[in-house]
Amino acid sequence: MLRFKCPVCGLRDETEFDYGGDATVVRPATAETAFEPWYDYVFLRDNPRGPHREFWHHSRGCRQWVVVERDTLSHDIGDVVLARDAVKENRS
Amino acid sequence: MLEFRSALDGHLSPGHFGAAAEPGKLILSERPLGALVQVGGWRDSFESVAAPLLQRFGFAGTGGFAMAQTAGEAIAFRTAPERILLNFPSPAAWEAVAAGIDQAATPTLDLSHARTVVRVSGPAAAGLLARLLPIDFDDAAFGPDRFVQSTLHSVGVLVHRRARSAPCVDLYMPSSFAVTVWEMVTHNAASFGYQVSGAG
Amino acid sequence: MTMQPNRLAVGGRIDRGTTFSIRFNDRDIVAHPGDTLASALLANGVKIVGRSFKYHRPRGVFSAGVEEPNALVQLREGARTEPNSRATTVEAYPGLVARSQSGWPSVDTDLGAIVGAFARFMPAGFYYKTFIGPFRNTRWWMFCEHFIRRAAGTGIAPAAPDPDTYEKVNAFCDVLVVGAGPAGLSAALAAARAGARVILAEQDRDLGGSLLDQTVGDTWLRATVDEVASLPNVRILTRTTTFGAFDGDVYGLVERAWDHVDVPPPHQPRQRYWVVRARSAVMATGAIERPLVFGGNDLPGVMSASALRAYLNRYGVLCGRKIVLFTANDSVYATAGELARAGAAVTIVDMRSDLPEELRSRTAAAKVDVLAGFAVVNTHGGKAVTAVTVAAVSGREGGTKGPVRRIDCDVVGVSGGFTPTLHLWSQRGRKPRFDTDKLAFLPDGSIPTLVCAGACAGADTITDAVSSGFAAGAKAAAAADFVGDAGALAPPKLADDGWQRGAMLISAVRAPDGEIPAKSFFDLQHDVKSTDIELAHREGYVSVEHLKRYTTNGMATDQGKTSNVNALARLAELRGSPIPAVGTTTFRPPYTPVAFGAIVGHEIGRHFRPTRLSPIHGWHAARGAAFIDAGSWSRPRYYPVSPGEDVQAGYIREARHVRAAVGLVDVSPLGKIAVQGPDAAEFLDRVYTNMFSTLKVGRLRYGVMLRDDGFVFDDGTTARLSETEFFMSTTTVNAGKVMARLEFLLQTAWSDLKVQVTSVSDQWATIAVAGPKSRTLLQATCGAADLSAQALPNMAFACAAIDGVPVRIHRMSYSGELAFEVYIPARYGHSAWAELMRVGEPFGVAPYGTEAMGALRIEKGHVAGGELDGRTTLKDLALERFASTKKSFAGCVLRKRPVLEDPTRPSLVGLMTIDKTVSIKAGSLLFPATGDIAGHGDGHVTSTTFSPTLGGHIALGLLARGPARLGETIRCVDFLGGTTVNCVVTAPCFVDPEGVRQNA
Ligand SMILES: [Zn+2]
Repeated sequence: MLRFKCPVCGLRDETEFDYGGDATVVRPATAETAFEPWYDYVFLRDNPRGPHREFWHHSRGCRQWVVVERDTLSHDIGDVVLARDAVKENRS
Repeated sequence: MLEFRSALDGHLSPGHFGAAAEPGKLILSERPLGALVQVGGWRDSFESVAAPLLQRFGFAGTGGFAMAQTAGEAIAFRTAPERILLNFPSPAAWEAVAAGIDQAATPTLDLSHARTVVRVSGPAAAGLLARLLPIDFDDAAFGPDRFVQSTLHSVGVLVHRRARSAPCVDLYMPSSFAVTVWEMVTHNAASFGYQVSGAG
Repeated sequence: MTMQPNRLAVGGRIDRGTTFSIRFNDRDIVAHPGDTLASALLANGVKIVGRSFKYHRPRGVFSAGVEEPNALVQLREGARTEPNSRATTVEAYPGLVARSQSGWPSVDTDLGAIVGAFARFMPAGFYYKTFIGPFRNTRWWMFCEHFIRRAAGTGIAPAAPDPDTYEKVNAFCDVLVVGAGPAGLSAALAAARAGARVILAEQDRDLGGSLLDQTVGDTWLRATVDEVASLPNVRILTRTTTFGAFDGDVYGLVERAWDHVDVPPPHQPRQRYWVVRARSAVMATGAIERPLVFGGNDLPGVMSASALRAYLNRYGVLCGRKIVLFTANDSVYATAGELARAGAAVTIVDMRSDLPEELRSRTAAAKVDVLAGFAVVNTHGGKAVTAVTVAAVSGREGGTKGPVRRIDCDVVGVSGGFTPTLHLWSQRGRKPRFDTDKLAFLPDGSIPTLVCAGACAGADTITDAVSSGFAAGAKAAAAADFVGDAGALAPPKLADDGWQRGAMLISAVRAPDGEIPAKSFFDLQHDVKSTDIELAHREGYVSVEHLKRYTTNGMATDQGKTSNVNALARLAELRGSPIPAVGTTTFRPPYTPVAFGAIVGHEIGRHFRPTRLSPIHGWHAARGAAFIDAGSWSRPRYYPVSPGEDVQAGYIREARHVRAAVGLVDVSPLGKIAVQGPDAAEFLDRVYTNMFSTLKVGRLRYGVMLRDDGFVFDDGTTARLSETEFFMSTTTVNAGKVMARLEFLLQTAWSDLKVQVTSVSDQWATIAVAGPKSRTLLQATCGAADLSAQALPNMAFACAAIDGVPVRIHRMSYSGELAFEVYIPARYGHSAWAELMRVGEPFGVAPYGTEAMGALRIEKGHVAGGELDGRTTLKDLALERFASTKKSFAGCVLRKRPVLEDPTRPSLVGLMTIDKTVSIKAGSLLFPATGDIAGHGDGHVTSTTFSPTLGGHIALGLLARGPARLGETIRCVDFLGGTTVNCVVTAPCFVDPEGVRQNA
């Protein structure tokens, strides 16, 4: 079982969390009207062997979204930070 | 006035159940919730506006994520970075202090009906809780005033160790899940032997 | 009671003062407290305990532990029966009943072995050839399965529900020590002395591991156990197998709390599943003796040499009177002396020719014969071994030369060396290295939080096990930040024969003619012979993982604990590669089988998942409602007016009543979300396709959300409570998903918005009041509030009170009737409902359930779950008018993808049967009135009902170019039921399309 150190709650079981997808993709600005950035954001994913960043939702804890560094090969868990500290909308 | 009715109404019958056990080993009851209010806010201003508000209610400040604060009969849980859950003994107690809160800076939300509280007390409490939640309930890790938000039977619950010398823990659960959680609690309590009492 | 021919008068750790009876294959067996089923059977002289999987050969007890490949029994009877129980680990208790799992009519006379027909069905690769080869997609497997299941000894699953309870316990510790042999006890002591919180888990009933099988070392054992047990920071779990090591330093343990009795005491669980989160762990799991492979090595009487020692010293059982010990290492020499002292004639056949003088002198003193440089080539005997053929070792590994000699014996103890028990370490995704010195796979130090100690780490003496265990305990404690002084621990004083010195690893003994005898078994449980491995190799299976699956070697319930290393040594030989190049297979949990009951604990039956109940549930139950599971909710489906009223009659009656008078439906399960903050309106403009910033305080607006890929996600009605606060409702089924998505957006890309969202689903009871008399009823109930059409138009809300309790009344309609939703603080919901029923009695108010609610909304053409299936767009659902062109919103770009704009996409229509007496099945495919019925048709039926208003069956569906086909006759084909229903295509709204009724 994976265990994540939620910045709010401390080290907790995976069963308190829901997986939320790839955290390396950047959401286009709401006003973005071009297809390509949205297509990339919604559909295109790398499948790395090794370190990766993922969203997890502490849905049965503090309800914060976090970004977890997980090694897809070893399942080693690295830094866990609040998503709001890790993600910024692409406002370019 | 309409009848006030707990989600657990009809599910708690006082008496001893499960394995034979000495009195007081494990006591389950429903604790009347009183008022439960969430205070929210915004990242850039929360500490500066919420801390004085909490102080007005008698607490030291916004508090940390691990320890509940108490002020008289009121309890404050810092449940998220900009979120505090306040438990007052009665709606009147909350209303007495609620006036004049700036809703734009610290929006409040009444959740008094959204949660139901089951109290677990007695020396077997930690053993029972270990069967219910993936949390370390050892005295060293979960002493008086400690609280966690975790999962019981896949339901998100808040667990609060009351500041008493004898083990006494309150489980705040969403009211719609109260019956299913109660049944899970009692099934797991049967091997200890437990007493259901009318009041916490 | 019968005699126990093999039970010694003295010795062992059993209580001879107490005698009880157990039953095995309908025979009474005498046992004592402390016995296992296997030790009792051996004491009573039972040789045959089962028949083999493929060849139905007689098999006897092989081991004294969890590795047992032969003695698998059906334990207990009736609902408590448990297949594949290892007789070697089943504790004997008064009244125990067990049977062999195989053999017909009995294990002693098995017709399968005489006919011998069965084995021809199953050469190596049987499963591969069946599922992947030429038989794929045929009914061959179904044909074979019938015979395999009947003929193979795989036990019988219980037919009745398990009457016992199980529980799951979460535990936390600084150091978990797995195994309480010399190494584990030492590790636990060191870690605990350093101050760490320790859990010591031992699969056996008693602590001590291999020391329990010895006659010396008890003083050390008692002192060490006493100290460990006296420490308050140690929790000792016996009868507890650590079966899995998982990511995050989490371990799965199963405690057989009350498996050693027939029926657990009242309220006590039979087993406990411990989920242990350990900051670090010590694996002191020991080693399992590796058999030697030779002709007829599966006959009853051929046993692991260490098992002979265990039966002798722990259970006071002398398994034979003339014993041959076949070995290639030192470990059997002490055993030989003990067996001889107990009265057996013992001959050691040792493949090594140059034995140390010390061993020779000891055996001479003990009157044990030694044949050095010899190997057992074959056994003799029908139902049990009666003699062995031995020959001198020659040439390459495993080779022999003539002449052969015959030695009479009734037991053969074999020891080919030891296989460290690495399962837990391997489960963490690591590959062990092959140590060419110790001739075993050993773990390395690559997992900082899992320290291996004792025999599993290659220690081959008890002295080494104690010192490595003690060091490992201190190291594991330090890894958990406990660095207190652990002091020292002296090892027990005992003569200590290791298994390593001069050890050799051969795959199988060859007869002097150079061949491996035909009946040389590698995997005893799955009947895998050398010829099977040769066939696999010949057919090109060179990877050890493929070998395993092709031959099924190691795939039985014992997971190849005794067979894996020998089998891969044989593969290495065939490939001409060294063992390290061949590698080993991967171990996966569980180490030994675990009952499903233990894993699920109390989460069974009704509690398989949590059930949500509305605050008004008690009223519905008292009224006799028929409930239905809707997502996680249990909801009233309908309220039968008489015991015989079925759901069809019930919902038609209820729906008709709503259109005629007034009805109440409990819609508390609707998702409800408080959206608060200065940017709340902007936020809703982004998540909904339509505009919310223009919504006036006091008003409601229906909204649709898209996913980012442009498909419809959810819909619902939102009220504006103030400039900065909205009250959003969602569908019941999507409530959690919507909430999580809103939080996601606010905590990631839109974290600059000052908005908070909070679920208030449980805060409110919600009662929909619908029907032409709904206003009259509410007005009568709420008194003071002005609910007139002028004061409260459709899509507006008003604050009111019911008997002093403040409520909010939303005027909105899902049924198409004049209707309201009343929001009541949840704990008043039950009595508010009761009050509405009481006040409504003169108006004929009646409750209605989900089925009638569905019928009414289908008549009105509202979309719900059947239509919002995640594959439909705004256009598909005729909701395009809700897409604002004045702003951007989530999904607004990708919804314009050409494929989603395709005008031929199926879109929402109504369907009405031409024959009013026939109904439409949801999920039916739609085909034109004429032409072939082939492919996926032009669309499908999403929701169906009988329409009380129209007096016929109607449906909603998604039909290609639907709006252009109104009036066309369509065939609805239900391929499952094999029926075709002709329908006319209509507009989706069947009742009051102008909205006269709801706007009244
Ligand atoms: Zn958290």
